[in-house]
Amino acid sequence: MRRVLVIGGGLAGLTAAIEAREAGAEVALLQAGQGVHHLFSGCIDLLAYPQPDGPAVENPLEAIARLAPEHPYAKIGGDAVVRAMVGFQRRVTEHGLTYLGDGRHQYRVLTAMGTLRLTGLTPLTMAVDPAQIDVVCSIGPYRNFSAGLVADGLSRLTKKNVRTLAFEVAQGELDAMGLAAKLAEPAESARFGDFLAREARGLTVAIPALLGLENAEEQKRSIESRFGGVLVEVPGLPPSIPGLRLMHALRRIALDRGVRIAQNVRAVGALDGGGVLRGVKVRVADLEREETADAVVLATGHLVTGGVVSTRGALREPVFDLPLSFPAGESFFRSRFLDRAGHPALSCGVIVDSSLRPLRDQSPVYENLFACGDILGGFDPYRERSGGGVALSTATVAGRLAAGVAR
Amino acid sequence: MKRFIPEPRRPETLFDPCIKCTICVSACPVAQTTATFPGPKQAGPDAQRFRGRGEPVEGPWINLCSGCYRCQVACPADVPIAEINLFAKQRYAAEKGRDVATELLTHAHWFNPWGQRFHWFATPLLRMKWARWLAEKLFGVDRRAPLPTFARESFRTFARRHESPRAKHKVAYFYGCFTDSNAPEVGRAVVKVLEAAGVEVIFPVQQCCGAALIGAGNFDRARRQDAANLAAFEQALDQGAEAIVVGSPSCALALSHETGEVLGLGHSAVYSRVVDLFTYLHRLDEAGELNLKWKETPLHAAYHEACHLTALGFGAHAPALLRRIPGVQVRVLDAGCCGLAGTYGLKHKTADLARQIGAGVARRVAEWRPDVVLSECEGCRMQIEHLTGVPAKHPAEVLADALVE
Amino acid sequence: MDRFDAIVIGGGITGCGVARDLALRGVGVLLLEQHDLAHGATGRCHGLLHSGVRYAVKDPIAAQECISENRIVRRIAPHCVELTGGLVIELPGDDPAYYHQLRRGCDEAGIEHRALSPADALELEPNLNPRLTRALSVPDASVDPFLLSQENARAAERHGAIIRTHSAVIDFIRDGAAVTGVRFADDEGEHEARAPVTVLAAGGWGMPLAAKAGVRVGLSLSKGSLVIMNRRFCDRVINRCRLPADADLVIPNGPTSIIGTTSITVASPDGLVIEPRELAVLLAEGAALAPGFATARALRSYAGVRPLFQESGDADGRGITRGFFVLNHATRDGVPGLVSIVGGKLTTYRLMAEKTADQVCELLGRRVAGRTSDTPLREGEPAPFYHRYERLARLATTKPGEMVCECEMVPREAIRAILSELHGRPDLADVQHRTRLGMGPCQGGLCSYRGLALLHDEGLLAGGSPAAVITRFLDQRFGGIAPVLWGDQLREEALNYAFYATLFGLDRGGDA
Ligand SMILES: Cc1cc2nc3c(=O)[nH]c(=O)nc-3n(C[C@H](O)[C@H](O)[C@H](O)COP(=O)(O)OP(=O)(O)OC[C@H]3O[C@@H](n4cnc5c(N)ncnc54)[C@H](O)[C@@H]3O)c2cc1C
Ligand SMILES: Cc1cc2nc3c(=O)[nH]c(=O)nc-3n(C[C@H](O)[C@H](O)[C@H](O)COP(=O)(O)OP(=O)(O)OC[C@H]3O[C@@H](n4cnc5c(N)ncnc54)[C@H](O)[C@@H]3O)c2cc1C
Ligand code: SF4
Ligand code: SF4
Repeated sequence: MRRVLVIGGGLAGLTAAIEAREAGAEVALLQAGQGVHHLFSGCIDLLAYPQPDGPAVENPLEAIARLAPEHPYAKIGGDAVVRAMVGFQRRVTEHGLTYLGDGRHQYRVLTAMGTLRLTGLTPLTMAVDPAQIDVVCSIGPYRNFSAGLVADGLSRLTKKNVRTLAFEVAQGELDAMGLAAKLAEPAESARFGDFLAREARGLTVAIPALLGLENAEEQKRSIESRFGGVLVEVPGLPPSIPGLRLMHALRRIALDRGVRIAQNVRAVGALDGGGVLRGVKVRVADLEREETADAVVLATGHLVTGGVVSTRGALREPVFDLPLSFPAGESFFRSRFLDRAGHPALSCGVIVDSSLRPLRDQSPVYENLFACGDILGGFDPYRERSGGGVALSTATVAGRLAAGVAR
Repeated sequence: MKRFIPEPRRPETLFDPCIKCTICVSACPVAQTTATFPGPKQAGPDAQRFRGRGEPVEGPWINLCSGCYRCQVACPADVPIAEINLFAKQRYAAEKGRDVATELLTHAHWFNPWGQRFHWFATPLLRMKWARWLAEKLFGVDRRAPLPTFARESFRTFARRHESPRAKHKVAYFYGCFTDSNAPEVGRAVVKVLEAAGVEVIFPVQQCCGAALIGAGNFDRARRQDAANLAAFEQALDQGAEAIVVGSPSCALALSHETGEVLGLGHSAVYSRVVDLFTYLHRLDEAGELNLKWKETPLHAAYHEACHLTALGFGAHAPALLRRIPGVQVRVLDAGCCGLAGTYGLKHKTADLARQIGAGVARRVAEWRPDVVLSECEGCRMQIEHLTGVPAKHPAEVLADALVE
Repeated sequence: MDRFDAIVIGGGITGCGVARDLALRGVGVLLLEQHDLAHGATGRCHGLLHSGVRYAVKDPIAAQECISENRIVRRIAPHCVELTGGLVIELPGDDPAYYHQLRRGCDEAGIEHRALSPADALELEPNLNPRLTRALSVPDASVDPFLLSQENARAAERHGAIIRTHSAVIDFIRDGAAVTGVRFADDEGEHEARAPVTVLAAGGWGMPLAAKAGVRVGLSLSKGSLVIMNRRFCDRVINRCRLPADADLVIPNGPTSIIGTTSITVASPDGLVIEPRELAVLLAEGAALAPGFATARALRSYAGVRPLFQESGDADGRGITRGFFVLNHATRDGVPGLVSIVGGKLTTYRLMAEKTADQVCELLGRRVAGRTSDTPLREGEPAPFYHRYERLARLATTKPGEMVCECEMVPREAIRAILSELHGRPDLADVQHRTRLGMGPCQGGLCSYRGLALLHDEGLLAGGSPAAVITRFLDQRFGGIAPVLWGDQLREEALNYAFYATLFGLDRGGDA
């Protein structure tokens, strides 16, 4: 059986591992730590702002078809994006997570800042037009959510008077994980439903994204049935419960398919077989060892998770020392922090061919190394709002190619 | 042999890479359960930034860290959070001392030989309500917590007698205290599987790995024990052992990792040779040398990956191997920490918390209703049996039973 | 609110000190600060409560002033000072003669000093350069300039002074040549305030302001840049044993270390830029003192200007006297009603304030002696303690959900406690200056949102757009991070950008 090694346990790594496994390979996934899905909104962004100065696009797939050739979406093609999207939706549905969206229109999701974000695929718990929201209810107190702030922002956007409510849970001094666990207790959920029945019967109520880690949709339905209205989750600062739900589901799928997941282990170099990789050198704390494989998928993310590292003046891909698409002499960030043009350091990455193989001087560095997700160059996931979509779709392709089947 | 003991890693430099992403917070089983523990980020890198030499220690909350390493495993920036907490516990204990329960439970290896010698008395005694009540009042050992039984014959005695046939491969086996006094059948199973796989097993004289002592911040004692262990196993390596197979993940973590990184016992050839049984078997398999024959064994098992096994960085190799046995179905639980964490689930102060932490595992086991729960870690096995009533075994026991001899 | 005995322009340490001194003497004071207290050199200084050792060779008078004020500040503001002590260390290559001159200078100025063997010095400070050749222990200390300014202002308020932040003086009210008051602007518009005496304590901003009153005050603006490291390398102030030069001081500040400084003459106190070569010098010299600097994480960099009084005009920044001058513009320039205080140091602020207040009282015809040298800032009230383990102790009493700023351990209650002090339309920066919110490693990544939420929930954003307030704060904070943007700090900012742009959409104004 072909042995595939996936480096990285983020959205891209988990997806690539599952794909490679489904394509028949024996798969091991190594991860140094968790991926940024612990921090993200839970929505899978496809593409919102292709141009720094341009407006938002309302049809992501249509915009994807018009991207410059160096963009990862352009490398794999729009059809691959659609297939990956559908595959993802099907898979996570089996684990109780419904993701809505067809890539042909954007969802607007309210955030804990009281702002709106555009996204392509949204969890069922967030898929409500913000203009419908009547009430913002805090759960807690929770330090990462101010109902007042959210209602204020929403009122400015919708010109509608949005009310606030506060639901106190028994241990209000907890952080997100504890609050979500508390609220997931059947008695607490029921109490919340009854509270809303008194205070907001039949209304659409926005709450911090603190529905349970498991069975969130069931919990949502059961609370809704008590007050006859609609609950909307509002994502905010981490820990991100919606992100964790997704991570748990993907891990579950990978483990059930027989993927071996090794954590706390960092890939640190190539086992070079002359143009092909024999595997990678890995390290646990100070101990080094080797992991061999027939193909390797690089899904190490970007600066935040260490897929790209920096010293004064230089950015580097630390595992294979792959060339990065970063113009020499450019400064890492622009002078304004919240610049709508994004920052040069965040848009650099590994340069790949149409089979997602990293290139040096236009030819593949290793014929059996494939890259996917944030580590790719040619796009800026943060500015464009395309991170989740690129991760899923490039990983789908990379996983299959690594397993030795056609994309 | 006297070892050169350099300064341990300096905790004051370990927090620098923390980018405050909070990923560790979502991984910590304790922080999710109680607001009395500030969580790995605050207790670890955040607090360490404020700890100074010779300054007063913080509150006793640091002892609520169970030492499960889940935070450290999750951290994308390689902050050794769990180790920072160990240093902080040591600092705390140095100023405030340790409670009786901690002292008692971290020195179990002192009592084990006695319990084992008088097993006919000790095992029933530890099951008596009044005795447990008394132990809780006097020593702070939770009266509901799971406690082991003592075996008729220790593994040590078996090993002394046992002559492993010479073979192409040779490993040294670190069986650990629990296997020795409380579960020698696990040790015998490990030996049986290794020998069937064509591996000679030797048993260097060994002491408690000190994992519990380290977890309680008692580094001095642990240092003495592990210095002796390193010497014994270095000698075994010199004698041709190619690996040190460690039955229990916590012992493996202590020997391969904490000894150097936390206790500062300097470099040793032992560290990189420590493996868990299944990783070792996997390596034989990769080299095409694992030729075991299995008999049909109908079993519906749930596999629980112990936190410390995860921390070792090999990943769990057991499920894949178990699945080769005809009739065996294994599903990986992936339901978090069981809560026992060494002595955490035994101390009255934290036992309730431990049970709450283990609720996730218990729920999933209840949902799946397996015949057996498999885990390399004895603590997990005790706790899972305690919480679910489903029997728990070391996966080596399943292999040993399924071998065609 | 428009008539006072005296108006003080500038809420740096000097202005705050003057306001307190006058208030203690029963003078009715209005203090006007354009931004927040300690916005100027005060908030951008090194935070060294000089023992005077730095000036012991070159400027004996400054050295004497320092040691005597050092003792007074420790006494009257114990909660603003950490009694770290200091070391002077000599490294290979430093002129050995300087060490002896220094000891003589210390003897003359009355600065206690004690020679330590290199081994003893390294035992005390294991992170120091192990090649150090000689060491001297001196009574330097670390002082929190923000807290010291705020505490002076609070004390002044207790004695009837009015402190107005976010109130910029835009012009003087004149009666003939005399200055009889000021015009100032805040969020709500322009206002006037009158007083027989106005004190100009605007530091580096003094020159153009003085010019509005037709007075020339010769100031040379010398920019000094510093780097804050994420961790505390040394528990003592570390001085290099040589004539004051670039980057020869490392000062422990709470959980951090600050290395400084450089000296470059600039034209304006606003829009200071830290040049890459300054940064290179700071980090290299820092590594000479404590080798760990080379690989450690830098949190941010900042610069302040030393407004050095210069009657003649030229001379390089470091050569000019550190002494201070109280200028009575009535006698000096024929402009009655205006007094300027220029030069000096944070360490000697009290003495400067006392001399200034003496002058003001003389002009007001009041014969009241100053009593700041023996009146504690808190006057017997319990003081909030300033020490890093006090912050650590908060973890025992604060539940995770109540911690707003995790890096600097600022609980919700600590922020609530200072909300009443915030004037006008407060900014997150005002909270930051009073609590250290956002000053830790994440530089506001998590706590900006929580701080904003708190201000909003307390009704303090007064109709301003929350998105605009937080965007301004983050953009401002970034100014100090940009110079040290590599390694861990680049990683940190990538994450923060993802929070506030990708997640919250603030790069696009948040309205999608
Ligand atoms: C705060 C934040 C909010 C975001 N919000 C959204 C959003 O709402 N919607 C959206 O679609 N996108 C969002 N994004 C972007 C999106 O989350 C990412 O683009 C996507 O998750 C990237 O996935 P990845 O698997 O490529 O990388 P990551 O998730 O970064 O995973 C990288 C993995 O590789 C591991 N790793 C790194 N180096 C090594 C090594 N040497 N050896 C072994 N393992 C290694 C890491 O530990 C980690 O497990 C957000 C990003 C951030 C940071
Ligand atoms: C880099 C550096 C390091 C230093 N290190 C030390 C040290 O370690 N120890 C030490 O003792 N001294 C040190 N000093 C010196 C010390 O910082 C200054 O002497 C002292 O802070 C000056 O305080 P100030 O109040 O006079 O001036 P500032 O702090 O500059 O205050 C002037 C204030 O006036 C305000 N203002 C200006 N114009 C107007 C207006 N139109 N209306 C209203 N308000 C206005 C400004 O906003 C500002 O807040 C250092 C200086 C520098 C530059
Ligand atoms: S996971 Fe690591 S980097 Fe993130 S907050 Fe925890 S310690 Fe810091
Ligand atoms: S070691 Fe375990 S209990 Fe301790 S802080 Fe880390 S995750 Fe929490």
